[in-house]
Amino acid sequence: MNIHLYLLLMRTRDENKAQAIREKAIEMIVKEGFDGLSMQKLARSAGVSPATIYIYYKDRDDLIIQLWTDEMDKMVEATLEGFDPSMSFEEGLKIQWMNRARFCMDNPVSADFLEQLKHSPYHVEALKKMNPRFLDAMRDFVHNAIKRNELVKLPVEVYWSVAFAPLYTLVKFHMTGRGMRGNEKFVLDDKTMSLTLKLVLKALKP
Amino acid sequence: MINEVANDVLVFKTDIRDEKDLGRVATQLNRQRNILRWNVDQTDIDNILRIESYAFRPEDVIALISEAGFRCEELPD
Repeated sequence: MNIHLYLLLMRTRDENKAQAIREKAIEMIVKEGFDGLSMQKLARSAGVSPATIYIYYKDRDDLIIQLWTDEMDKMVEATLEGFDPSMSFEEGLKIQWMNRARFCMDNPVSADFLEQLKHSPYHVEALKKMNPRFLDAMRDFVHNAIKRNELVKLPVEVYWSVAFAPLYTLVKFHMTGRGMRGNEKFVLDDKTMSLTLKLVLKALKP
Repeated sequence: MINEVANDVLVFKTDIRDEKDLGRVATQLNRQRNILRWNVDQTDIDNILRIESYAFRPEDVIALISEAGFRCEELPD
């Protein structure tokens, strides 16, 4: 019965309205934080009635978690492009760096939103809905690399901090357009990325 | 079966605020066979009551909620 009801709702869903709700909601959260998102405000800026939002989402928390799953799927899609977990650690990490950097640069609002949620209480709930394809690919990649003695075994937070945080810091410099000195333009080009990646690979070698 | 899927989501602005309020409303709503599921968005200032139902009119909901002692106003789509 419930499934039938949902099928009906899906069919009558107005994709333009749904899209407007998603876009405005993410914009609002990125600009004003989670507390800045109210259904009334969102309805006004998306040009729909509050009731419409509640037809698509159970409540505010449901909206936030569903926004996360949608954006996460886009991120996963981008990150896994041309990537294979059986690749050598060096090649696989390089592809991921390029993919992740491109995703952030092409989708700055989406990237900000994902980052914001990661450091919020919503993250626990969101992780339960994590894209399994992504988790499997990341896990297999790391396990293969450890087995082949290309990667040192580390707690996952340490691994992530060394393997990806340097990239995201550089991406942030690039997005603000300014480096450490503030008045000088910073561009994350291939040369800078390769230089950093080389150091990261060195640090992660057994 | 057709009738069971013919209706959709009803949305109301209420003053159902805390757990105690929810309990009182639950006694009314859980008894209704035509209500598939319901929830109140407690993070929202309008304490939105959302009901997934079939063959259930907004007036029926308003009557039930008023009977439980709360304000209830339908939000049009």
